[in-house]
Amino acid sequence: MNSDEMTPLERTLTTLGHKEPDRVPLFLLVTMHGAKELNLSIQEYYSRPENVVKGQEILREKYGHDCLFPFCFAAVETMAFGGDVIYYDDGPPNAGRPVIKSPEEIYDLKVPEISSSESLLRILKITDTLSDRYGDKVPIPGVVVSPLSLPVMQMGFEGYLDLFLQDKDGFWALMEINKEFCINWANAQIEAGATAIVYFDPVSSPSIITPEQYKNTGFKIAKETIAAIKGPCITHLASGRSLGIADLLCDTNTVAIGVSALEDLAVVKKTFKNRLTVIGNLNGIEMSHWSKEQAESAVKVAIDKAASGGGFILSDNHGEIPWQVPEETLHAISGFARKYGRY
Amino acid sequence: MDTTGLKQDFIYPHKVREPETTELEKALLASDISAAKKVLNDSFDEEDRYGFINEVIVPALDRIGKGWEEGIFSLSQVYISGRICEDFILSLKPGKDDLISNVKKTAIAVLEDHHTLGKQTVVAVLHSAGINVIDYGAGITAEELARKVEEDEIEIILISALMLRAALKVKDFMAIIKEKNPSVKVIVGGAPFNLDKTLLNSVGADAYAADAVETLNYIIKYSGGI
Repeated sequence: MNSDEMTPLERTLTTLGHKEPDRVPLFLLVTMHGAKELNLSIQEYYSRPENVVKGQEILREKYGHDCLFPFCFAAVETMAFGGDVIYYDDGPPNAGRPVIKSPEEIYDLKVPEISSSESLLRILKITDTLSDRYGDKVPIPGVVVSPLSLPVMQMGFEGYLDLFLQDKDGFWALMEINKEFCINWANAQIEAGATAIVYFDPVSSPSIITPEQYKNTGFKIAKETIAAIKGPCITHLASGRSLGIADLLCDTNTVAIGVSALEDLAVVKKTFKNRLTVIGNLNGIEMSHWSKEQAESAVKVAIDKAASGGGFILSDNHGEIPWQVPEETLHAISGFARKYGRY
Repeated sequence: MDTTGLKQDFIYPHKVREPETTELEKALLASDISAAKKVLNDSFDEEDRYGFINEVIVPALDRIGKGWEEGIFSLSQVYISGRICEDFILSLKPGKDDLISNVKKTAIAVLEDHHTLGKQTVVAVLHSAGINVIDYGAGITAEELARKVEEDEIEIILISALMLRAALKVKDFMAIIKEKNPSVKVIVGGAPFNLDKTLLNSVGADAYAADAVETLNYIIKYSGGI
């Protein structure tokens, strides 16, 4: 490493401070790709914390990006509520049957103990190990699903939208449970060494609910939840649009926002400039068949639009790179991020 | 392969495109179920049921769906609008005999995935338009779906996908169905196809519908019009 070169942590903290680091930080959010590296099925890979630690080490060694990502898959949280999970050979595991089958069951729901959940303890072990080894040099973002977004897995999307739109009492009762769980889970990851918490909140996006609905629900919930998390939070809308709620997002005390490929990154950057660091917005779906030239163009365009002045982390638009994205493309993204990202 | 879409050329019969937001749309967009039901009840004409569907319900759902594509409206508005109109139509005449019978036999499924909101939204809009659709549910494999399509003599199959891996399973399905029954039309929809316009060609389906009313238009087109 060049002695003038910043560490990934310094690079990231500088850009979060809305200043230009040595180069644009790259958060290559590769999760399942570690299984390929270890020649394991996705289910086997996630069954042992050591696998994920090893996978993350190999992937960062290979692509030289600026974070280590202990996140496995979102359904670990519904597993803590007693739910099951469906594994696939070529994609992220899905939450299985809803743990809340009718709104009445919300009133009997208990906040799960973090220490009683094997799925969560595995993540804490991954976080702890990565933090011990690299925490002074490399950002290690933990992940929580927001209280507002978790019910999509707890109830199924249709059941949840029916609750959200037609049963205020049931909705707020569930939010109280989810808020407590979310805060506990985020703080457990911070204690285990997570540098920051990615607050995954796709339901808050204007793609899913209206800005008015957000103002009355997701915004209030985010503000209270983020205030109780003992570390910096990065809100991610997981491909959802952000511009329609930009000012409200800035008032939630989040420090950064993961944005959609559906919005112009130049407009997004201008909107959030000096307020939130913008994370994104390489199209993760298109990425699966990019040529080297397309990867170069996408990286260059994103950097041209958003890097000036800092406050920008190059990443995908969803918060997880699909299994189908090949190694050559990840190398290309990483290489072109270094080439064009130099300040 | 039909990749042109039908966004501008709405082909549902008797379509009247209102330039201004109607009372029905206002109620639907506000998720105001009782107000929407009142507008539907007040404007319903028993003597011209299909005119009512074509001129009141479908245009409203069309504009709301297009508004979502453009980032103006939210998915919750699209979902509840479809559900309200579906409930209204099904409450009038619950028997399938009353649904439009001269569209080709149509079914819908989600391949190897359990995200069903898109599928349910499409089903609601099709029911709202008086069209029946067989729902094969979610989590079905390409092979199982091809078998069901053959057994039930389905002529148009709709496949909804939220995840990339599920969207890519359409390619497996196409390989089977085009060999067994090449006349079956396959219409796909969902986020991966929206985010990557080349994906339709990659998987080899016949058409991509950006929203539920566009799906309806393709069904009518593939049925030779109504």
